[in-house]
Amino acid sequence: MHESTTTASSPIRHGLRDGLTLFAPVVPFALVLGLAVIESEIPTGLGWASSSIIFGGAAQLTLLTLYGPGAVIGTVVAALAVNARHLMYSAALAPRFSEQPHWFRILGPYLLVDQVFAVVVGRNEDPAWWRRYYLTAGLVMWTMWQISVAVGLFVGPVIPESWGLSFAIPVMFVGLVAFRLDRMPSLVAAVVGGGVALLSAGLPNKVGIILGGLAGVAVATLVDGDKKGSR
Amino acid sequence: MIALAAVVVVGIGSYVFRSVLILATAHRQPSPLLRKALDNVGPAVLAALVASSIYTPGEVTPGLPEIGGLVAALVIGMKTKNLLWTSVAGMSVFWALRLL
Repeated sequence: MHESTTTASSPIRHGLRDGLTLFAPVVPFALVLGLAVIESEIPTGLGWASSSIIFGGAAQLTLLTLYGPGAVIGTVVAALAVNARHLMYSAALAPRFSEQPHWFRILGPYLLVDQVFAVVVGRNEDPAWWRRYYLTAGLVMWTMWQISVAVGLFVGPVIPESWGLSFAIPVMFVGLVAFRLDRMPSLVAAVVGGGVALLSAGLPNKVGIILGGLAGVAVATLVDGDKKGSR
Repeated sequence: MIALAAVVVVGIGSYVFRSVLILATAHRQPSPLLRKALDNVGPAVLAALVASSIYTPGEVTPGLPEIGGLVAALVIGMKTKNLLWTSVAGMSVFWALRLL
């Protein structure tokens, strides 16, 4: 899926396929978010609009569930902390964006959520192909997200939690990690990143994700450097 | 009005996180060390996201169905590099183990 040999095939077809495949496991989360909109102290219309203003499910969920009188600043800080991991996405994709036109460098980052990052980060096709693929996958995610959260306003309260549909989200992320385990530094990054996140899982505001990400990158880069230096 | 301000601030902040390094480093080639580090961001952060979503002390603890589902997804993901098959395998094993 992440081979440069697919350069000749349509970026839009690939983006549609990957965007829809990525979105399927997110549906339960969107439905849960719809339910959170209903139960939040934030007005329902504004809660749904947060799907396009913020476009980041974890931060939205944090804001919607924690928001209340006397807790506004703390809630905003917590929601921003949850999305701080996007800084790493921005850093990782900066080289690819440097090959792109100015309008895309301004607009593209708005669509840079977990799932979009996951599918575009490993692709090595030429800049125009990559841009069309990114926009297609991103817009599929964005459109489906808006629709699903709206649907969640109505059906979220009805789906039994016992179905465990939300487990599809970690399954999808494990698959995306698995695609990248063909290099030793990637394997080290995944093991250290996941391990540190587990050890720091009790910290507030999902800080463990950031700590795991930083630790995984640091150790894997050291291993990569040592390996190449010893040749 | 305060709720609207809160949503807008989080929206702007999220966009800044996603764009700041893309815009700041436009047309600059990262050093070899930085490029090497950036190659590792994907697996490190994705693995951390998985860990965070399956374990929260006192709230969420993975059992056999969750671990089985994730192992199946890992194996099928490595073999097929196809998200659809990976998701089908992971969820099938998860649901099957829940029935035991």
